[in-house]
Amino acid sequence: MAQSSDVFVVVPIEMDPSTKAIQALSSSNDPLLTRELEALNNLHQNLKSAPGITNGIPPPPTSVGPKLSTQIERMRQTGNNAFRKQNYAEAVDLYTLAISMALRRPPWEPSALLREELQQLYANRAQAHISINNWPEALADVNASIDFKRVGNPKAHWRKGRCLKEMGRYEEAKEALEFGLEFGNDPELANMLKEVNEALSKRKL
Amino acid sequence: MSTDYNYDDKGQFFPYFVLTILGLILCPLTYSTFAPSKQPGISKTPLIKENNYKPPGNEAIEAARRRQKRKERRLKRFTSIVIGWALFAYMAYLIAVTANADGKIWDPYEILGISMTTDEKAIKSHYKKLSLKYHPDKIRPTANQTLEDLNNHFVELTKAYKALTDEDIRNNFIQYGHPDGKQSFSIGIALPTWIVSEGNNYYVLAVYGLLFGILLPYYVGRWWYGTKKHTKEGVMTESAGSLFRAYDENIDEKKLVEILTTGEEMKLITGGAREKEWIGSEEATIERKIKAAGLADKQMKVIEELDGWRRRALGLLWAYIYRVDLGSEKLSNAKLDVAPAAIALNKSFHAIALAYSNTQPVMASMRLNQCLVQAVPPHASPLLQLPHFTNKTVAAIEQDGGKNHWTVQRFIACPAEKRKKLCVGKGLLNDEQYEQAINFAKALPALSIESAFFKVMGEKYITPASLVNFVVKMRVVPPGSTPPAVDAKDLLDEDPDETDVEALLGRDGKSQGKAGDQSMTPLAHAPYFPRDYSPTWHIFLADEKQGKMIVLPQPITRWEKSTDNFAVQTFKLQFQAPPQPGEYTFVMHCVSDSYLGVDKKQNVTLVISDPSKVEQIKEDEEISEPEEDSLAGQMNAMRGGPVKKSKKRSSNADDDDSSEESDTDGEEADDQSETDTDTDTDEE
Amino acid sequence: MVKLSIIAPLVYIAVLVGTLAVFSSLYRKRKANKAASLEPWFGPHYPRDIYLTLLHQENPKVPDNILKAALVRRATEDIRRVVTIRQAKGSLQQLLQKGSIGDDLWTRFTVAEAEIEEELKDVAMEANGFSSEWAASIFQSANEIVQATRVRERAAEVAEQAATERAWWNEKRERASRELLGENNSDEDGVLVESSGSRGAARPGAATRGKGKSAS
Repeated sequence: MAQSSDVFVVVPIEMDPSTKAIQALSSSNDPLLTRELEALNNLHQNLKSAPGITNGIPPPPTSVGPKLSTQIERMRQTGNNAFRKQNYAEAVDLYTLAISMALRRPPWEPSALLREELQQLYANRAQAHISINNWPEALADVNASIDFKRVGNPKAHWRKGRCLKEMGRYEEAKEALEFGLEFGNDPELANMLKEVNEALSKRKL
Repeated sequence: MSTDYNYDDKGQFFPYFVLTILGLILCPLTYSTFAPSKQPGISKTPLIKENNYKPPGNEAIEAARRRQKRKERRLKRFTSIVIGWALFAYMAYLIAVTANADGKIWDPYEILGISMTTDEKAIKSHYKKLSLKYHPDKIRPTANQTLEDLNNHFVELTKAYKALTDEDIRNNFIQYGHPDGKQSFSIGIALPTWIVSEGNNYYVLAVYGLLFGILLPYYVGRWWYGTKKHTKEGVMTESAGSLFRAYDENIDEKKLVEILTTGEEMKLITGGAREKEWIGSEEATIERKIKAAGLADKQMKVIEELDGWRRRALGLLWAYIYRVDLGSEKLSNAKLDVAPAAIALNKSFHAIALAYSNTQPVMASMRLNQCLVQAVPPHASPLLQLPHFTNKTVAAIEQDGGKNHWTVQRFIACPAEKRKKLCVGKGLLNDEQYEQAINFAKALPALSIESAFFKVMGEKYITPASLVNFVVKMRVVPPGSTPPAVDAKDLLDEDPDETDVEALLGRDGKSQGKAGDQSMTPLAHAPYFPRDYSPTWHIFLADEKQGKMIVLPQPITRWEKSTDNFAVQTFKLQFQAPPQPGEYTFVMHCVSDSYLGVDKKQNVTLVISDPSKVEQIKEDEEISEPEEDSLAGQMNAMRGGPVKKSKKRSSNADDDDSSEESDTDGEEADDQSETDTDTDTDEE
Repeated sequence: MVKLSIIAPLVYIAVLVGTLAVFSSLYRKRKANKAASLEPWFGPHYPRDIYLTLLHQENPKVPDNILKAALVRRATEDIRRVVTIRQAKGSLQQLLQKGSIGDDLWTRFTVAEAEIEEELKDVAMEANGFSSEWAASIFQSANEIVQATRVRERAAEVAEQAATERAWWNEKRERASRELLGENNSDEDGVLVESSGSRGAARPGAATRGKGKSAS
């Protein structure tokens, strides 16, 4: 259906007058439609409840609500403190809380900011996991940290190599470290790579 | 009009006509059917000489192979060629046998019945004798001769005699070939007269109309739309369209399996005309079995969300990959039809992914190709390629729950005793199976990269935007074999002589490889794949940071033939250097498209020198000052002339640095000479 | 026969021209039909349909806020489509030249491209209808929403990945400790002494053991 601009398909939806939510008519059971309506209702609620928005129009992504940022930052600092005091498990929990706070940001805010925050939080949480030898969780966190910031993040690559090495997955560790070295010749990365290579050659089978 | 068209009333010339037409059709047809195809043919040599490994379900695989061969035999063409040539021979025979009543060369000797060497007197007497015999007054007509015939015959005899004796007639004969002088020019048409006789000509016109107005456009149209229906890779254009729209830069092997089933070729197998052959319970059987074989929940969910032919195709494809025995013959045949279709569609996807130049989809496509050829699930162990190896065997060897899969090379690198202990035993392999597996493992064509470097032909430094050759030197080193050490000379890339223009242009036999010098790689060892598959290797450069390909893959399908099995092969990729000087790190990948675990990866650095610095270096090298340590250098130093500080001859990789050094050295020397007190300062 | 000889060529020309005209008009009509019936590039545009349905709904009339939210959703989907189109254009041209795809695909693409351009203009107009100057920022906001959705999806994968990795790691350690016990006791049914899985609890002892196992 090559749509011209004045043609559209009438969708079987209706508005619930009390909750002002849009829902599909009971006759249709298109899963895609239901998903879309869900997203629409969520967005609507977001726009209604977001601070600083009066007319239901999302502001241009130039400014950021400062309150949420300070909250998240404070949570992160608390986590850092716990880490320094070697209360690693507590640090992990605090970081998790900060992450969930960051994810509750309204979606129309500049995503680069969200990315940066998450990258830091995942990196910190990974470090906390490493300190208590939770290699699997640390690996998952450090992978996210790398995906959010690839360039200029040698520590994350180092951590990933470390996790994989500790779990005995030397080939993967080698790949990860070599990948990290692509972005810049970091001496710690090179050292870790050397260790992994040694472990590989010493492996009995 | 003086010309007169004589149609063939006696029906003796149409063989020529038919012969010509048949010849026009048959010769190209026969040539195209039997001549060697222009494509470099698939080599027929298998990887292992005595390969008697029969995978489970082998009968079905062999049957599928036979079916394909039958389809390719083009029976119709052969029969039509045979019939055509038979007709041709018949026509030729007819021509040879039919007496030429008309239009024969008028030969007086023959008419008179004498040989060419008879002299005039003999001719005369012979004629007299003949005239006595054949004169119409003398002879009585026999049963099959009319009076007219007799008269004509005698006239002919007289003509012949006169042609040989009488002056004028002889001249006529010499000039025109007939004693009666100039003959009217007659053109014969080798078609029977009934074609143009009254009444028939409408039918003839109708035939023409049918032939040229209807049949010809129909066949041309059919051919034209046929060619437009398939893309360059041999898949239908609709399939290529579906694959293109499904492209995403984050595709991995598992997602790719799902995408490949959108192709129309799949529909031909599991849907379309064959839709009614499918019973609902069969779908359920397929899905139950693949779930039992280990397909992950996420992929099962995707199958369940689909419907109809696509669902069946996806189920069958996973069943093939997981080597599931589907039980019924019909399902097995469908499964074995789906696999080659998937390979063809994968090639099309490969081309699409290359156009986008993102590394991940291209790698996914190549890795999936390996999986399809060997019938191994994505991210599963490369050991499954070995004959008789099942998941159980692999689990017993790796003991790592699915991570850190062993490559075949690692398996062979184990000491033999330990290796055997790991996989021979109850519920695992027996000795004979183990031997077969090792047989293949030791023949696996794993490559070993000996050297990889960048080079601009004829230059020592690489300047921006120059044509760079990426030279890769590698050897085929099967696991378990110990190759001899590499001769350092083989690792260099000698620039051809400057006067050798052919070599410079890369047109000589060596760089491209004459067909005689190179042998095709042997067929892939793919016991589960129901076709012959010719493996290719792809070499390319990628930028890992951006995830993009820098130099597109070069497919390698032939090796240089040599007596030495471990000879170093050279392959070159050409591309244009980036426009900025600096150091660029790339990753070189060498990926096979039919064997798992033999891929090679290596970091390479491309150093691009600033062109102005290169100029300086050239100048310095041309007029090099005498070295510090030499006598001439000492003399020069005393005289206050510039002297070259001895510097370490560093390796190629540091050349850029050393070029910096020489610059500063030069300056220092100059400084020194300036501050040098006495002596002649006019020698700067 | 002489009578016929004047009319015959005229009749011939007339028949010829007539057939050609009929053929060409039929062909052009068929082509136009084919172009119109080409499958669209993208599937149905749900946000657009929802927005327009809500816009035209009369009883009860849908409040503006909902309409604005629906418009933002529509803009989000449009941004996604526009990005796909822009990224695909170069590759599609390359492939077309090489012959790896058919002409039909290119036609569909151009149609889709034109459609999406119109759609963007339409959305901008509608945005202006709600509030002046919104047209400029609606697409920026939509872009950010698309990026943010991606970030969230990636973040959601973290927990899943952690769980899978943890399961594998626990299994591996179980296996390793079983092996160790098997060696010590030479008894196939080694009882597992240590409990598997230190979920988040600090156990330095576990680390060295784990390390030892990873080297075997």
